[in-house]
Amino acid sequence: MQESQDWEAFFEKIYMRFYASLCVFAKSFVYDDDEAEEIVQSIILKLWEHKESTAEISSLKSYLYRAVRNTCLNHIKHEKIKNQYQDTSWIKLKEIESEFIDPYQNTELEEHINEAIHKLPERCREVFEMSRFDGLKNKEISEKLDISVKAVEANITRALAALRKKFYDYIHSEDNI
Amino acid sequence: MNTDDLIIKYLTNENSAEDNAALMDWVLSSEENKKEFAAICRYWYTSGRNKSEKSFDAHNAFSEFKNQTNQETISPQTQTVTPQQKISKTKKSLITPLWRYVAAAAAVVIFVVVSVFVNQNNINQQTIANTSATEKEIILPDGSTIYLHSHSSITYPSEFNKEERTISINGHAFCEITRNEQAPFIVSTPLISVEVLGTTFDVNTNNSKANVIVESGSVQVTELNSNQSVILEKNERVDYEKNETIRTSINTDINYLSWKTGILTFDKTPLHKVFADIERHYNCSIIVSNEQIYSEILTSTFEQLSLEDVCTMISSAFPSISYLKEENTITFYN
Repeated sequence: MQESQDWEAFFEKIYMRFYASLCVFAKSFVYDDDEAEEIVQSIILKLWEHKESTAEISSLKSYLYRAVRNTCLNHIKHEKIKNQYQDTSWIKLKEIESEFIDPYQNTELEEHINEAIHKLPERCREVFEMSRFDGLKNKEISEKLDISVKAVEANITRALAALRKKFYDYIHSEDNI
Repeated sequence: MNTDDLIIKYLTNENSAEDNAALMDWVLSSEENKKEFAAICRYWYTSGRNKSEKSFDAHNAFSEFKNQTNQETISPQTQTVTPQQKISKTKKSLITPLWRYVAAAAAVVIFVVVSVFVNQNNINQQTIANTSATEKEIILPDGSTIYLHSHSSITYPSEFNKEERTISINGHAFCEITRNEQAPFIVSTPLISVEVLGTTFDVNTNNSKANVIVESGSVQVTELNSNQSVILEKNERVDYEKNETIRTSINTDINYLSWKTGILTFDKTPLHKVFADIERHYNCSIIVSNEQIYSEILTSTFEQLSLEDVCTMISSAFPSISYLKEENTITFYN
């Protein structure tokens, strides 16, 4: 691992395996693609700076997730102050949420969830996907589909309730959440 | 609103602060709720994973990464460089876009502006007190820029008159004065006044001492009580203490502007001086287990780094030295 080419290959692997999912994770905090990428890039660069000591990192994956989480939490704390928008509960909720879960650990769960989404009623799925995948605001969805904001909310609630019902047993049988 | 709605609006980032407060109460009220909340968040993120990842291009990001790191030659010999070389080598690339972003954000955050409007011949006098931990940039009516350090205040008019531009500063500020030979610029402080035509300088005053360092141009510093004055040129400084004689000296403190630039530079500097600058910059205190540590020599530049990062870099520069951080106190030991 001391040779320069090895290092390059090592970091290429990190990018190919983790970059996109780390960005998605960062985006769940900062709600902005560019900021998410900047944060992830900065973390990998930092890892590069200290590459001689990467051997001491027992799990690179959880190190990276933790670093993204901490950096994002710091970042949103700064942002909140800057905006003078004192929503400390929101930050606290982000902390709790990310403390408990690594959303990218379980492909099995992912498959189940995607299957469940496909089984949702048409309109419900449409709304859920627009919100979840296209990142549209509820108001934007309501304008696009010409339905009320309340109806958008109701459909998302319904979609998540369906997912929740389906996996109720699944999550309660897990110890790691 | 029921809990489901609150969670969904939280996930779509449409909750108000009150909604989030209500949700937090619910989440914290039991372990069960906490699990439930985490689980719903987990469905949410997991369900979007594949599609969301497509908007991030790992190949592109990796080439960008290579560009940034290639400036630093990677070689197996890295292991054998001396601590000083090693630390100077890493300094540049540590400044990541995020740090720059955070620093820029920090520059504008947390300040409380107290404005006092006093009507004086139709000219409003405005007072701004910076009570935050970070600096605040103030642009004056003539285009001059004042960087106000934390816990400092400035009073200036909404409009300058034609003969003279007068402001007052209490505390610490860096001034970039727009040149205007017709109207001298006067900074008045509790003990001294500083008169300039156009220049950049740092002024740090309170009721018992005053200190002025000139970065460019020249200034005239006048002690208010005795009316004694001295002219200061580039790189000269005045360190005046109340009731003493005012005199100039050459400025040897290269880090005097670190509060504004975020940059600390050390050039074959003994650690006791390094620590003094770090203490001033980060407002922390540093102690050593062994006085020998003070005489180690460091050459390095730290740009916009956190205190932790700076300590880590110092301890990695000197393999025998480690550090321990407890609140605001750092102990270096060997």
